[in-house]
Amino acid sequence: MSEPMSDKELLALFHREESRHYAFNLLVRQYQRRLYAFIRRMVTDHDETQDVLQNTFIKAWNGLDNFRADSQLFSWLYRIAYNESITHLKRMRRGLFVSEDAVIERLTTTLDSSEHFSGDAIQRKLQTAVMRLPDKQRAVFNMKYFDEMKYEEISAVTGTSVGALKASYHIAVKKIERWLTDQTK
Amino acid sequence: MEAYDDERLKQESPLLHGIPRTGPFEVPQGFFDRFPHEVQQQITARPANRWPLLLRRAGIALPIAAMLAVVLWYFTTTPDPGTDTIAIVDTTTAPNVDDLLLLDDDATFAALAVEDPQAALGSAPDLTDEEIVAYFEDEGTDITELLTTL
Repeated sequence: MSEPMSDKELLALFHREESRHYAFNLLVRQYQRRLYAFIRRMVTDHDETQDVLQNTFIKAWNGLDNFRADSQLFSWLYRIAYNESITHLKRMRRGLFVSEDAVIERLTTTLDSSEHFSGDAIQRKLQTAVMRLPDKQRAVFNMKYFDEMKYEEISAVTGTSVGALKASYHIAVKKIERWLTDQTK
Repeated sequence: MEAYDDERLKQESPLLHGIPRTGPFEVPQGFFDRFPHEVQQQITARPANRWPLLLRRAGIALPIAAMLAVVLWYFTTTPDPGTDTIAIVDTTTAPNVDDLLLLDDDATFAALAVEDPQAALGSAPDLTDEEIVAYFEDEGTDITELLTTL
């Protein structure tokens, strides 16, 4: 696999009419895996992840002309993916007309029945615990714990202050620890 | 994860810290090879919006501003249909002597004059003598004095 292009090079290619589609294809190839992983942890199901990821890149295509190079391209794409995931989950709740518990139940069932879940029992328990967090707190936990992002980067994605993110993450850790402890008793 | 965060996680949640952070979700084979082409198909199927964001916003904002301006102009320039038929009466000040003198002229009284004063007063009530006497007694009128005066 060739060396990934810098954001600057990608954007320069994108702004030239003749290489616009080529540049965007490179951009998708460069960022699809990380964005997929984030979205998948949020919505669980592969097909739904594919839809959300596709919407993310279509929005990126429509907005890339107005992207300001003062922020990182990946942070910008991550922000779109984050907003699309939250919107998707809200839409799911509205469509199902059900309570929060029923949505968690549905996500857990999807996880249990998924043919594309390779984790062991403890990882399944961890994912189930993470699913019990509110959407935004779950996104923050996933970005910090799994993607190992810095609080400043998460702040750029979510628009939340670093202090609030730290508090949110540590509350999430406590909740998960408590749930895992209860399950292992 | 930074060393500080990792150490803190170990203290706060030893159970969570002990779980390997490998991604448990699998992706169908060949998905990431196909996906960029699928996205390309989607974006070529729908024409890209080449108008800059500012112009797109202006395209929405300007017609709305024009409509608001027309509505505002209409309400500020069109008089209320009721106002031109109602006389404006100043009720804050009592009439002065000059105002009353204006009424005290021949033309005003001529307008108030009636052809038949008796008809204007209407017919006298049809009362019996006893009723007239009872009325004067109620009023405390001395009938003898009244007759003398008349």
